[in-house]
Amino acid sequence: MSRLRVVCTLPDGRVAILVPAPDFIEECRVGIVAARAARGYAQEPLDETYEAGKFVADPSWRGDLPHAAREALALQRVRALNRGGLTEQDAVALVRDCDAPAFSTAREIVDVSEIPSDRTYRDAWRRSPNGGPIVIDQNAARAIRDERLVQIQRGAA
Amino acid sequence: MAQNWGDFPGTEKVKDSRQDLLDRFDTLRSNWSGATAPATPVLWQWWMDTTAGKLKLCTQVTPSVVWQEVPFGVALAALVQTARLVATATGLSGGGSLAADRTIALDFNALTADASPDRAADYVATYDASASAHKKVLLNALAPAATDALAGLLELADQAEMEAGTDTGRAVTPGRVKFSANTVKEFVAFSDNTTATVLTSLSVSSLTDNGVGDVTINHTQAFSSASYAPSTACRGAGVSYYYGSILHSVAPTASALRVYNYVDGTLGGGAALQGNWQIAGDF
Repeated sequence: MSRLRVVCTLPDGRVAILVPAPDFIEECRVGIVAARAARGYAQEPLDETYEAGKFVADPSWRGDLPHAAREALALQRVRALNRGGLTEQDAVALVRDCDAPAFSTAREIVDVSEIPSDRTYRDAWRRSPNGGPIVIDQNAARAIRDERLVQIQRGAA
Repeated sequence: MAQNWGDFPGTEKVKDSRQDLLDRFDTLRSNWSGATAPATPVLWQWWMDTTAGKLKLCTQVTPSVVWQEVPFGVALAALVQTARLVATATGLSGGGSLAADRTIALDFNALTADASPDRAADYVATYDASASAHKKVLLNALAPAATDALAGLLELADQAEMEAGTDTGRAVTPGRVKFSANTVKEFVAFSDNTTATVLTSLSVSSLTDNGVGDVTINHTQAFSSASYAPSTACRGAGVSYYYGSILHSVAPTASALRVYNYVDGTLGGGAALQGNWQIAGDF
């Protein structure tokens, strides 16, 4: 189980956290055919052009990049799956580059310990567009607390 | 030596013809042996020329008599012209001059390999036991295409044919079952409390934790379109009702699916929650 996460700042200052799937990391490490065979799934090598083309055809996928860059990134992703050879860090970097929300900024690979484990005010988490620590926006936190109090009161009534 | 071929007229008594008969037998037994050629020979009559010491054969009587020598002490093979050959074409071996015994054999390995056999036009050699005859059979007839009632050759369904799901003449292989629109292409189980964690997955590259109960499932392989069928069953602590949903305002895309997990009608709900999602559709 990888301890690596990708933290990025959304355009409105909220925080998105990417959690790489361990199986995806393994597929990037040994190749998708070998990784899935080890789990009992028959898998043929991916058709690189076809698979990359589907990502490029999805306008929501990395829509913040120029077309040529999207093509190159999609091909890099599929080739990594087909050929393997990536380290855990490389695979997480691939997740960062491919799966991060479009127009998010300050995409950083961090250890899971750097992310708050208390999610009580998860929706109040904020971060600078330039990166740095995750902080709790006090105004947003108060709004969350007030909303919960209202719900509790409704439940009691 | 005898070349006596006396006549015995019809008026002669048999007992008086005995010597003439014996003379004729001697003549035949000795192959008309004599120093001179027999007079008035017939075609293919032997003559042992005692002067030349050669056995001769009359090969022509008109317009002139021709005697040809048959040499002694020479193998029959020597009589056959060495220029006469048994030529063996491609696929046969053992040919050569007729001066020696020859065994003609099949040599399939010497045949030119057909790099592009045409099943509708090319033949193979067979032996029809019922007709006791060699025959040729069209490749198509030898190995016909399989049908519901006939065993035969089958093509393998490729990804596009698996996704279309309309072909009934091609075979499905284990590695391509997943391309059927009826099978689950990917699944993921994740916890959404404390730190989000992927518990198990297939064909999911990562989750994006967007906020409370708000998770994006990023596909390892993009779907061929955004039209696929997600389904979910959420699990949580306590007696609350947990369920997953897709908002109408946030449509699935080919590369990702944004899902929302609710507890008793509240997004996230702050309690321990496990989202289990699986997706069927076309890669």
